[in-house]
Amino acid sequence: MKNMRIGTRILLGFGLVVGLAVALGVYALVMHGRAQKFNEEIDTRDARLLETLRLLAASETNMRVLREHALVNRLLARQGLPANDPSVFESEWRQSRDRNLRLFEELGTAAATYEKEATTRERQQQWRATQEAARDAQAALQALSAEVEAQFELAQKDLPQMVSRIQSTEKLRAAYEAQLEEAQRLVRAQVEAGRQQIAEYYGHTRRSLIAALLTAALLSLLLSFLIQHSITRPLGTFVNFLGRVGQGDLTGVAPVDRRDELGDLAHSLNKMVAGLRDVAMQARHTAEELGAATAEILASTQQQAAGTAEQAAAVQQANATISQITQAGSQISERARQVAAAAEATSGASTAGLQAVQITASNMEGIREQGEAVAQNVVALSEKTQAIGEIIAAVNEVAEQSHLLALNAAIEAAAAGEHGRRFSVVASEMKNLADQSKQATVQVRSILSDIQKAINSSVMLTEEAVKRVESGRQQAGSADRAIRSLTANIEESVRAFQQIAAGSSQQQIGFEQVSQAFRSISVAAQETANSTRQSEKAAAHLNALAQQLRAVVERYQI
Amino acid sequence: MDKSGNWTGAHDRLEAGRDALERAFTPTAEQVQAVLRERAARLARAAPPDSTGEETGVLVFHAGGDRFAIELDRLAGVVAAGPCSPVPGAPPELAGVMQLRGQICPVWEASRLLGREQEEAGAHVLLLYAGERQIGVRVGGALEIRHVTPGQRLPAKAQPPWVRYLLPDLVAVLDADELLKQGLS
Repeated sequence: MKNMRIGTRILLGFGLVVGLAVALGVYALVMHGRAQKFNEEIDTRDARLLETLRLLAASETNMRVLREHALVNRLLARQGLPANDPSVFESEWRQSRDRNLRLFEELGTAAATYEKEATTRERQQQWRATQEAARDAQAALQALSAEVEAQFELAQKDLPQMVSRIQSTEKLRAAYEAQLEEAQRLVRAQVEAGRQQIAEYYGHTRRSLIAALLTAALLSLLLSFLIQHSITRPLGTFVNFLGRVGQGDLTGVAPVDRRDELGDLAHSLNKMVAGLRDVAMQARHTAEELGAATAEILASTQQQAAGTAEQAAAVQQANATISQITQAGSQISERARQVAAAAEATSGASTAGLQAVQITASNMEGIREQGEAVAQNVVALSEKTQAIGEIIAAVNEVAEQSHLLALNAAIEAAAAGEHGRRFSVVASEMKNLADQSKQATVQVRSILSDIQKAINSSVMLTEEAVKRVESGRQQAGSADRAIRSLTANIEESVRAFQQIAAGSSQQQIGFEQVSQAFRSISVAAQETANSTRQSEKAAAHLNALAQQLRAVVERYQI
Repeated sequence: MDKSGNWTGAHDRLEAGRDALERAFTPTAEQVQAVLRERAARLARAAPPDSTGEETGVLVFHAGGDRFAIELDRLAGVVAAGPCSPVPGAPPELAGVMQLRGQICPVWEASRLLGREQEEAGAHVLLLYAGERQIGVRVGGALEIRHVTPGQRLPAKAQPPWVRYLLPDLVAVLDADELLKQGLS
């Protein structure tokens, strides 16, 4: 039993119960079928017989009328009175008689058949009695029929004979009718007996059905109890186990000594408890971490609150700074306009300076040309001094020649002895003159050398001056370019300062917007402070929850 | 001319210079008279004192960075030093030969004859009598003629053999023959 699956068990139990029910149903159906068949027999066969008998009775009445009509009309015709043809009624009567005879045949055959098929001996006897009654009635009818045929014969020939026989005919007729009555009574009694039998049968059937029902119910109860017991007992163990688990005791293990669903359940429960144990451990760990984290969150939220307050203060400071910057920006704008005006004035001045520099450059050019002319003149002068030098060289040569001449004259005078004495004096004078000339040429040469040096110096100075003038001219060109550049720069500066002024105005607007933004930030900071306080509360609440969670988790015994 | 550019002073000075030059080339009558007077006075002063007749004329000249003198009676003349052709195989004292009035004349270098190492570009050539011919001695330059009295002659002591006597300013008067012997030896 332990190793049978619960599903199989329940299925088996239900199968047994259903089998009992089906057997019960089949039994009831059989009983019901037999009762119905019985009923049918009574309803169809007995009733049909009874009907046939009633038909025969009615037909007898009709035949009596037909016979009387035939006799009456025969009588009327004999008296000479208008009458219908009596043979018509006679033939009609014969037809009815033949049909009734046939009916009696059929009745006898049917009763014989029913006797054979009868379910009870009682009914068999009844059917036999009915057969006999029908035979009696048939015999009575045949007797009556013979009498009536005879009457009809007599009616055509001998009326009084016929009338005298009416009495006997009536007797036969009464006997026939009595036989019919008897037969009907029998059949009716039979019907009554059948009904009583049916009632008895129904009562029997009900009793047997109730007994079977009770048996089936008892069996079902027993089975249910067995199945329930085999399921609930281990379930009770599991419920106890789960109750312990529910109280937080995760140390227990559900017994796994079955191989049915409950065994599976125990296995699953063990797995579940193991999982719960893991979860509880993780939850405990997580709760501790959560506690730490919420404490951190609380701390950081408090810090954030402090930071938000600082932020609000900083925003106010920034707003004040922005106001100062705005004022400074307006001053900058004003200064930029002033500077732009000054720069425009400077631009005019630089144009004047440019003209002055151009004049200076042209003057420098004139100075350079004049300086070059001076240099040319001085060089020409130098060439003149060269001519003078050549003349001086020639004079010097003459003086040298004169000197030699004087020496030779003196020598000659010495050679002439006493006669050359005066000549010697002349020679001496000549020599003096030559020496003076030579000294003069030496002086002139010295002066010429000085002049030459002075000229060289002048040329060099002039060259230097020209170079300086050239340099000055180049510098004037540089100054020209510089002033042009300066003018361009100043114009650029004017534009830039105008742009600065315009930009400063836009900056004012921007700063106004920034100030507005700072006010918004201040409001937002206030809101942030509020929300931070809420966060702080929430963090505190969260911390408390974490503590609770830790307490809850502590409940688990792992 | 100072830095302030005193052009007026410069113009004045130029004007004065031009005037002075003009004046120098066109002397006034007083200047001419003054020159004439000075020349007359010098001529009067230059009248030679009539000496005892013992005076000897010497020619003072440069040679080898020093001054020497030679008596006039041995001198044929002084000429300007011209181009001188060197003689192959000649002693270093012989500067070469030169052409003198159509004759070939040997020219000796005075500084080498006098034993001076110092080279100089001889300006004059002294022409000395040597018998019929004349011999050139190239010297640094003939300076002047002096007249020497016997009292002015200082005896040469411990001097080379070509020194005859010394003048009061210690100029050595040379003996031409001894000097030429230096070259020939």
